[in-house]
Amino acid sequence: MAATCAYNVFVGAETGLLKGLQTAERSWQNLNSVADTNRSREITCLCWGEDDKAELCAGLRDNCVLTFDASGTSAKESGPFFGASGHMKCVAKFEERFLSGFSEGMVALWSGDGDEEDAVKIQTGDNLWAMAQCASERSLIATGGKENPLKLWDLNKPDTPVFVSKNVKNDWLNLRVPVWVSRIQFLSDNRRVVTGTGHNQVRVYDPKSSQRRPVIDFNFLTYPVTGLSVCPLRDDQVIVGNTYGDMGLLDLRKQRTVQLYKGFAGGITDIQCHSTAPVVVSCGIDRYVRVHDIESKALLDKFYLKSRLNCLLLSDEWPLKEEEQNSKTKRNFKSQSVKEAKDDSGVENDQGADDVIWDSLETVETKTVTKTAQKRKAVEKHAERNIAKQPKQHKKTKNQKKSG
Amino acid sequence: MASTSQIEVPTWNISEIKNKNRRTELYREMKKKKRMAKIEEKKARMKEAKAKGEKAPPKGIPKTMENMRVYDETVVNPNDEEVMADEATDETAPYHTGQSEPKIMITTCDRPGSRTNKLCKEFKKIIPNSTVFYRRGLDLKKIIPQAMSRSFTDIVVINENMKVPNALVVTHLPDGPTAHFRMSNVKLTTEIKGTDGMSDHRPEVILNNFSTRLGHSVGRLLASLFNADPNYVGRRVVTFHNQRDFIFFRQHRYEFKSGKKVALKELGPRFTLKLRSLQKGTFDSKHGQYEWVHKRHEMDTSRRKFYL
Repeated sequence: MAATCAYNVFVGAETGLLKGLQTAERSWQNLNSVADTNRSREITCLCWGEDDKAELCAGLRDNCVLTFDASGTSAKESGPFFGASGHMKCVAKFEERFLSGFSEGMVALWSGDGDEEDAVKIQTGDNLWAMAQCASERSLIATGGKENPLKLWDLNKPDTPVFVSKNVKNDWLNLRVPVWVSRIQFLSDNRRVVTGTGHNQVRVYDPKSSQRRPVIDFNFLTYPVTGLSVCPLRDDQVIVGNTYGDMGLLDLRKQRTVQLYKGFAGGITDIQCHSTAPVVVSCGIDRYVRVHDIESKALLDKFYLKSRLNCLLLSDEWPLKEEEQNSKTKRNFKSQSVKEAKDDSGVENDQGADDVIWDSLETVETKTVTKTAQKRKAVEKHAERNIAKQPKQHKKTKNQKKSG
Repeated sequence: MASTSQIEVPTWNISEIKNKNRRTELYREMKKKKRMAKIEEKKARMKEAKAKGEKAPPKGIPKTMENMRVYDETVVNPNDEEVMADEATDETAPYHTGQSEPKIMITTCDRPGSRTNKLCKEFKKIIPNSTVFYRRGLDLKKIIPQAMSRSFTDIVVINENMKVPNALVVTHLPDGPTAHFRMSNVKLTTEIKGTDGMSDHRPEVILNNFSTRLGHSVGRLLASLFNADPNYVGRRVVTFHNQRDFIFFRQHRYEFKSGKKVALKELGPRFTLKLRSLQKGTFDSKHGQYEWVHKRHEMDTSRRKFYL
């Protein structure tokens, strides 16, 4: 586990405040002061600085980037970046430089020390809404927006996109389907890309396949998708939220909603699933951060943070509350406790840790009865009974009647 | 207390008696005894209060829905630096800081009934610097840019169902917010007894009990329909009184009879509003972001939980 830091959830607000939450202690704090911030310096996006998550970067509306260390004490301001029009929509770090997406469609890789000569600029289209960076191949990014289809770019070759998606076929009235990519995430195989759209669709693109159209395309309720997070603990499942305050777990293979989460009063702006614990954290313009259990749908916690919230960032650790640590039979955190058991027995090799997990599982005896087998059995039983009850004559007469 | 111990409550359970006549009789008797005991107790208490004078035990506070309200952490503390800074720069702030003068567009749904039309005319009288427009089947989303170009600051839309006005949409321009209310119990001025004609002085606005963060947003939106500097000569008061999430609208003219007594004359109309949703930005029910939506089955779980 990563080194313990003071907060395990960071939230960026519309008022420009960065808030650090300690969920186990149910406490939170503003990391910058009210006097320093205003609405023009609204935090629009957050990202981790480096791989070990020692610092975090907050993209501001005025195209500056604030860099905090993980304890949230010191802030360093970089920028503003003057080379792009519009305001900053998304931020990421690549090779010690900032990678920012701007609302008018430009993506720029800039160093933040005021020298914009060597900045790499990519014009991705008209309206940029979302950008995502691949976790394994960090030079690969995906962009998309309103009337700006999903494109994949390699930062080492910024001139042409690696992949350009194609719009879906015309609808049943032969009208063009409008494009509006609002959220992008790479799936956990780091190959496929999942997008949420302003027209409430969830789509999966596979750049390695021969098809440029989405390989999976289905709808989530009726409002624009504004939050999307891939479940790291479950294959091919994503959690999606919309402007109306609906959040649901979607299965991409079944192409339908598995379950909906409750307790929202307003639109969701960002969702993050934790990498190890089975929890999902969401924030919205109803000024609340909510923590749900992914499996049981239970609302574990909610925090009123006083400002409309834009974006969210989770650290690697998820400290348990005291009462949860005490009660070992807590169902919600089963997998977490299993993991902890694994950590405690650090001396043991992987084989031993696996045995702990296997021992904790119940043995389930399966009794598979296929439909055909069932049918066959029933037919046999019926036949037996008939033979026992009725002499052969009756059957014959019946057949005769039919034929007659 | 002694009197309560005197009640002869039957030792058996009345509901177990099988003879209905006997059961009802006993039940009635028991009820009567209990009532009498209560009256006795009250009399004793009053007697004690009278005898002791000022030293009497204080009166109990009656339990009401308001004072038993479920704790709400969003109730605004006026000393809260962050919330105050948030409010000072929100979308309705230009009005509250006196930078913009309200100019209101009032319109209805398509083909309004006569009642809605009458209410529209009354709205025009209530809200200074307002104009009534016939909707002409236009989309609200198309009206908004036109209204903005004509420097309107708010659009008020009265919707109806079966010729009865039943909803109110208030959109603040140019960046929202938008509130959608359910409107009920509409009484036009002519239907209220003893009303008086209203003058066209700018009214004073009273906003009661908008205590939570959401309540503040709604209150600020409603306040921004009226001029910030009332003309006190008119003695006209418009009240939005929030009680248990219902917003009651009343209009009065006051008169100071003496140093202590005030006479009120109702000017009408009356109606009740209930917030359905509050949206960030101007009216866009499809792609707009909802700041708050009333979700009946999820939210209405406690009768003592209020949101405004």
